[in-house]
Amino acid sequence: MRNLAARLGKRFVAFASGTGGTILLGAEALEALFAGRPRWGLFLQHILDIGWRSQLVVLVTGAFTGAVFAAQTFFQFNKVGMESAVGAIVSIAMCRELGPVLSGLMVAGRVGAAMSAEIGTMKVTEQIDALRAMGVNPVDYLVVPRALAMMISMPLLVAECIAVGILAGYFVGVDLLRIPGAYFVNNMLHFTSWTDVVTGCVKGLVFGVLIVFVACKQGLDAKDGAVGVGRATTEAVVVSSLIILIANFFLTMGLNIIFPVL
Amino acid sequence: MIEGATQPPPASLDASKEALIFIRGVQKTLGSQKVLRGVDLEIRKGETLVILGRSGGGKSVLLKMLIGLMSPDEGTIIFDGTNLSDLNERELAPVRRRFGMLFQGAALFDSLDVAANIAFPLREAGERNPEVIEKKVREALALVGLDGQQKKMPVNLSGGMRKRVGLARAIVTRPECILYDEPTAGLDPISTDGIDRLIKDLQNRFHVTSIVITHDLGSAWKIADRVAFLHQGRILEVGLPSDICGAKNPLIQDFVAGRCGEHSLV
Ligand SMILES: Nc1ncnc2c1ncn2[C@@H]1O[C@H](COP(=O)(O)OP(=O)(O)OP(=O)(O)O)[C@@H](O)[C@H]1O
Ligand SMILES: [Mg+2]
Repeated sequence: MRNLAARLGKRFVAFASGTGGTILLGAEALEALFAGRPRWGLFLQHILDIGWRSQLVVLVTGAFTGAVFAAQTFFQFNKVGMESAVGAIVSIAMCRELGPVLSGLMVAGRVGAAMSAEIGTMKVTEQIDALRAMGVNPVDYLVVPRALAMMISMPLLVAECIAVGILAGYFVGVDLLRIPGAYFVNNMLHFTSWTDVVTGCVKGLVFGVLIVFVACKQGLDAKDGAVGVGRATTEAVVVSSLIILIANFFLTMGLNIIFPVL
Repeated sequence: MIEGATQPPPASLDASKEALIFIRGVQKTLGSQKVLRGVDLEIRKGETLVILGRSGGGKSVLLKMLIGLMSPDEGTIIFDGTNLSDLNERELAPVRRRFGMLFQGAALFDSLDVAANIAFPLREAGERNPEVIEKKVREALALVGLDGQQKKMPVNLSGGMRKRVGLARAIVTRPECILYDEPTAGLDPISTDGIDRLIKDLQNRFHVTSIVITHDLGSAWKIADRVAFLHQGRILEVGLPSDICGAKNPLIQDFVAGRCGEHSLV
């Protein structure tokens, strides 16, 4: 019993110090934004890595989510003769929840893992010490360009995911399941407002920031060689995925205050 | 004056002014192990100081402390009048740029090729002209006998080549002080002699202050102005190479003779 309590206590301390460390890293990056020298080359390279190379993953995710959501909504709503609402449901769900959360999770898996593995390997092979020895601040060099690139890329990826999801929903609903196209589109436009799209993109931005700082923190703290890099990578993906899901709830509630659903 | 003294001189303002690097009472615990237990040492401007000691004795840790990569738990390290513990990470950067450091494991950036690795400190120092960079990279590589390998990636280099690229990267900006962690480990005798000459040459031509960790006694006697012997977290002896060779301490005698005697079994 006491053992269990001690272990829980230890987990809690580890959790608290990890959270604290990640927040501190965020603060350091903010400071570095002003104190450090901007590194546009690295920034562009990471835009390519994060934004461009995540296209396929995000497109497939968006397309099949939109498609399956349209189909399921249709099957249920068809029973009560409300199939014309499918377009509106798909578009609102994609904008507000599915687009940002699923893109966030996919990017956490693809980009977050790569970041923590790369930075973690640099840490355990003394490359970060080598940077510091040359008077280069690792936060300036490694974290800031990634964070900026992520903040640009994530909202765009989310917007893309939403668009593809709605298109796929249209294809399934109208072309496959024979919902009249005019009803689908009209209802969709009537019930979806720009605030839904903004909500999605804001969520994407926040998730992107969370992924970057969790992944970079895990990488920078990696130790114990290859095992440690593996552990850091796993932690980065698990923690950032969970944080995305948790933060999503609070963002939904918070954004609902800013953009209330009328 | 202090030359050849077996005991480090007492702490005094004079000594801290004269020495480029002044180390006093440095202690460091890593994990559960007390690695350094009070290191006292001065490094003078323009000299080559060789640090000898058993493997795992804390030499690399000490070297990293000299540029603030690790900070001492106790004690002070003063470089050119500044106490390193007074500086934060960002304030340390200009101090660090006056150093060049060769890591024990070379620590090359594995995402960059050889040329980009060596160009890195040049670019950080503000050099923008690609022709100048290329020329300096070629010169630095030629000094370590690797001109023509610019395009290789670090993972595709042999251990000794990696070490030499690390060396080229450490010296390319002509820093005033260079820290070498086993520059000749894993090199053939001819390359070893080349590196020894390079270290001496840098000292003679550019008045570089060098601190060299090595297990290669042949190199040590060749390059050292002074030798310090680190054992169990303390400097056991510091002096001219001849003083170390003739030291009374049985452990140092065993070390110099390369013999595993009763004193050496820790
Ligand atoms: N980051 C670290 N965490 C915990 N212990 C460490 C760390 N770095 C070094 N040590 C320990 O400190 C001691 C000294 O290590 P150091 O690398 O300085 O030895 P060394 O004198 O350079 O040995 P060698 O000649 O084999 O390179 C070792 O026992 C090592 O295990
Ligand atoms: Mg060492």
